[in-house]
Amino acid sequence: MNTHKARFGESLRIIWAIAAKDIVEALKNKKILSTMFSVLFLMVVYRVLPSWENGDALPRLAVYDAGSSCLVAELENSAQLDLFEMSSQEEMERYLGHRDMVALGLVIPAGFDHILESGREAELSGYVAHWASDSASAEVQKFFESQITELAGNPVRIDIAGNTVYTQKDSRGMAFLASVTLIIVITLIGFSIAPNLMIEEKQTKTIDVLLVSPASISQVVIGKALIGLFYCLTTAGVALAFYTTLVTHWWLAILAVICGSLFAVAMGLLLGSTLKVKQQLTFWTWVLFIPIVIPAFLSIMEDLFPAGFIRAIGWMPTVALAKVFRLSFSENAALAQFGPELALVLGCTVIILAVVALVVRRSDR
Amino acid sequence: MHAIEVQNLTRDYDGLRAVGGISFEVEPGEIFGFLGPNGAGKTTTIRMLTGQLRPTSGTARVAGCDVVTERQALKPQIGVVFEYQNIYERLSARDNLRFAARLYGVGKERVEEVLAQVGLTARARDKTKKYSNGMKQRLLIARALLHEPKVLFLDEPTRGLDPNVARDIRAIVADLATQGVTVFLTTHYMEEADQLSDRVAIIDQGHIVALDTPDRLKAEHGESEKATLEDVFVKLTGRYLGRRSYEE
Repeated sequence: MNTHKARFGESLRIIWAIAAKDIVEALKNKKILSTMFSVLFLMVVYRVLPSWENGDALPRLAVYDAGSSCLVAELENSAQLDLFEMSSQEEMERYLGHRDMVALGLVIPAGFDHILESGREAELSGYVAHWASDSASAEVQKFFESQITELAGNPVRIDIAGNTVYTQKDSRGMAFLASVTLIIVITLIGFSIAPNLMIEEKQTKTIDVLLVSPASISQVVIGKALIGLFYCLTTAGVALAFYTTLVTHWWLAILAVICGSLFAVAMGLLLGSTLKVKQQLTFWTWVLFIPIVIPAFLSIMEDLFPAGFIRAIGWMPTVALAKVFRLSFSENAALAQFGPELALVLGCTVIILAVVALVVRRSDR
Repeated sequence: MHAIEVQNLTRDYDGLRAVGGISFEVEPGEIFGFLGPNGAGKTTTIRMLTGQLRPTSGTARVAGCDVVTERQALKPQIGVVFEYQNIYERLSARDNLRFAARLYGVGKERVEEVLAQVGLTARARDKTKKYSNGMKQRLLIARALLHEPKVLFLDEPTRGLDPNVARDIRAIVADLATQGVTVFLTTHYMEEADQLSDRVAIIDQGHIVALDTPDRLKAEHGESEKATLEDVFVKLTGRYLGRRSYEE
């Protein structure tokens, strides 16, 4: 019993020694540093992309008119805003969920014109996406209040308190952008750090030093995996920090980051244990990265691709993971909704790790 | 108990026999020179004796541990200076050694001891990327000695070094033997082998063709009283070179 305990302690000491060395080494490795900067740049670009795209766009208003109000025609003619008429409140909410910039949803009740004619102050229910900050929500609320008051010729108040629209697991817009950003960040870092460190040990032949030391090849691989995991989790944490207002279920977002990081690091270990030189790694990283990440983009384009294709790419771990991320941004996240997706990601991870173990065992002497 | 005990050790690579059934013993505290031309099987033998490579057949015990079945127990008993300078060049000498110390479970004070032993204390904070070949070689020796191994494998430790550094390294090796460390040394410098080794084995095409003290080898195989170990080495291993030049 004590021997087992001692061996376990020694094993932990060796793994920690390797990981502690690499935590510093990774930051001095140009290849790894450039990947990290690229990832950081990508995060910033994806976060500010909607503002760039919509810089000159007019404020958007999605209206569900329940009683054929004259106000809609006035709004349509306004040059100060962009109006989108919806046939139901559900459609209006769906529209808001698909946006990447803050827009206002408005429900005009039946008989609204009578209220305006009476000269009394009218009140409308306004809706904003849950990820909109308080200041952004207040800004659109005030803007549309003043516009509608001017068009109606009567004071109109818009009440947005409690009228929050949550994104869904199939939402585009901000939820989609955030989910693919996280997928790209995790995959790029996972595919890059551990294999780069492993291949560098092979190229500089320092792996021989490790293998004549008390470290076993498995401990070396676990040490590299821990470093990959550390940087994956850290960068994913930074990416999540860019979307704090979007996340509604932090526990699920963190769980997805952990599962995704494990998957990406397992893929990285597979690359690191099978390849010998950095040039091979660069080639194979992109050969694998593209088919693994692109499906996450395609998965929401149901209108462009056959249903069978969309169903098939649903089996890709990255597509499943993107869904879980979007669920963590939604109002309700039940186990039945994210369980199968996470099981798929973890199942793939276990299979890849089994292959890594096989490769490592065969390479050992 | 022998420090190294080798019985019919063989290693094949894709049907080619790199080491063909060699046998020898090395005593504790002995400096054992292992000489041979390029491709003779020296490095393959070292790799098998240090547990990096599994023998195709035969057995070997180093510091009492079987190199196949007791590899984990063997590792703390041996130190290896490789034929290439495999150090972490982004780290300082001290950090290289501290990392090795953590792997072996050795205290930091030992790091300072070995730095002093190889004369690197003053430059210990410098990144090893800036080191000369001689300094790197000293660091490799320091790393191999860090955990006080019973058996030290030195694979061409003075190759490419200037005479002063090579002399310093030879002095360190000789000093180790007096402290009871067994040294298994491969080198292409016959004078070095002659000067340092208690016994010498000459391997050619995977087979040991001679094994004795340098003096006895010179007496047995030398063609004159002034014969050097190099003369013996060339006589025993140079025939293929001669044949090739004849054929050419």
